Amino acid sequence: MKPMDNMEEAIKKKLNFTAGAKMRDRILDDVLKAQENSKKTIPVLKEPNVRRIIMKSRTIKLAAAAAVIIIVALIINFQFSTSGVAWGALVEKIESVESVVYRLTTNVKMQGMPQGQTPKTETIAYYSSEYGTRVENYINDQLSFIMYLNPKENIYVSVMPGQKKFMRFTNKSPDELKQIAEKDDPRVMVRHMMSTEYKHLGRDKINGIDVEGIECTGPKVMGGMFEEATARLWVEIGTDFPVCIEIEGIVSGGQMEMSMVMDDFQWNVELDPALFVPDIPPDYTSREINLPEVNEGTAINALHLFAELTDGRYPGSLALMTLMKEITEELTKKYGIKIIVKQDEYTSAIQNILPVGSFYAQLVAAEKEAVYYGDSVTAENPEAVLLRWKASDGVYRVIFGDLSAGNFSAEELAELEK
Amino acid sequence: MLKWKFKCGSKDALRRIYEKYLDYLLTLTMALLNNASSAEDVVHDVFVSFAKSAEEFKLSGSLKYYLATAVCNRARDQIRAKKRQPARLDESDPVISSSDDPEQSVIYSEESQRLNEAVAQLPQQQREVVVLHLKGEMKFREIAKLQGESINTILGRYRYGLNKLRSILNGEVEK
Repeated sequence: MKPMDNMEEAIKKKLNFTAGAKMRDRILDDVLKAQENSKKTIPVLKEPNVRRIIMKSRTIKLAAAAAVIIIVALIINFQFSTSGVAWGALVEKIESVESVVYRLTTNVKMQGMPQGQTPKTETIAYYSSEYGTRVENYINDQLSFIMYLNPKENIYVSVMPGQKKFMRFTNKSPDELKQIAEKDDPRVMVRHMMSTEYKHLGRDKINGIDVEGIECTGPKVMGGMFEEATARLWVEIGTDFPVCIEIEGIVSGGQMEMSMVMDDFQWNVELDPALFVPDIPPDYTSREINLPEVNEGTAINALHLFAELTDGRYPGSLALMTLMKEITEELTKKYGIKIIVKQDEYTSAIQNILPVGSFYAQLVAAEKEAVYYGDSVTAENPEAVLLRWKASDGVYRVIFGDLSAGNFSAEELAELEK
Repeated sequence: MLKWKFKCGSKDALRRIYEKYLDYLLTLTMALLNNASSAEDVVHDVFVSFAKSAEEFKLSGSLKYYLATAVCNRARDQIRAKKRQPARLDESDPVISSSDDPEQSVIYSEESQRLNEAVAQLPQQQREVVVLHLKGEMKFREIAKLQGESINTILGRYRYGLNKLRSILNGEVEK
């Protein structure tokens, strides 16, 4: 063995200090007192039913143990099988989950911008089938907003402590709210990944946990959010619970790359219902937001608004992230540095233009042969096909450069697209 | 789960976090300061501060590295404070205090003491890199972030640190 290895091993294994029993008790005493005192002075979250948590934890452990036993049984019966994760049963297992907490870290790389200059975004999301969704968003470690969504109670609110504002989204039915909540639900993401074509990545270790992974690629992976995306799902061998989801997406033909990591999953954790009740201080000002429907009409309106903003140009791509980036760039061109204080214009543009991205994402997800030509068609090409998709058997719907729309047969479409 | 319960104010969770990380943090602090009394102070202060932080505490990130970073920052404060103090006569005394009652203090082997005294002779920044990587199990890029340096600088400090340790210990370890 090399000398350096010996030195490293010596420090790793032989340099150890242990607290004596009295020191251990001495510090612990002060630590517990400090916690007790802080509870008296600072209002903390409601004490959870620890016993129930422990019981649930035991249930999880039992379930995990059962999974291990099943896997062991599989290995004995099928000795040539190398898979450690019961992939087939994963979706079913995830569906039975009552709650989950996870962290989402987002990093953005932009061409021409040194790494570290783009903001670090971190999200802590809490999902409960009973109470709804709470999403805490931090930008550069500062709380940016807390979003509360509860389809059963018709609650969809975003609270922004930095601006002392809150936005209440109205005009959505419980079913629509449920769909919105599902967008970021890791359970839905896992289900989606398992339903698409994936390849096995084999085994690895994440934070000391033995995992096995799968990988999916393509624009559909993140439901049309990116032009191209890769997602990897890592599942713990033994418990069959996901421990990490990695997503990499391309925006604007590679001008921007976004990587997202979902980890720190806590499945079936007991959650305090109070977490899901919007906490809005009385001095916060409100804003009602009517989210437009997602359909052909709102999509055309969105294209129209974008073209107005850009003097006739349409978005280069309808992938949601690219669209958001283009809207932000156009508004920055228009307002310059004042964009920072033009929050209302920005929010309004985003909420009215994004539906075309959502519409396109729906078409892609439904495999309706959607093709968009915004990179080459502008308002100056009134007869060129801007967006088309298959409406029904043998019938294609087309939106042209002048934003008129019509139905055409496959042969007619071929002529139009020449 | 532990972090979540701690954030919710669970005493049991705090106790379990304490038991889980006490010796890990004590070893790091001893390796950074080579002084049992100062190490106890640092570990004490880090845990007390952590115990008070439940409300602001974020569930994201690794708790282990969060605590290791806190220990490292407080150890730096101790080193800075010590530099500001006038030299005392007892500075040449052995810094690992040995107590008649091992329960009272820090327990360690002779080999640990010998290694630690060698580590204590490294320049502070090299010491941090070696200790945080080998004992703290932190990645070089995490240490780079902590020290505000490039990863190459950190790798250089690590290499120099190990070479120096080897020369201090005269190859005794490398048999």
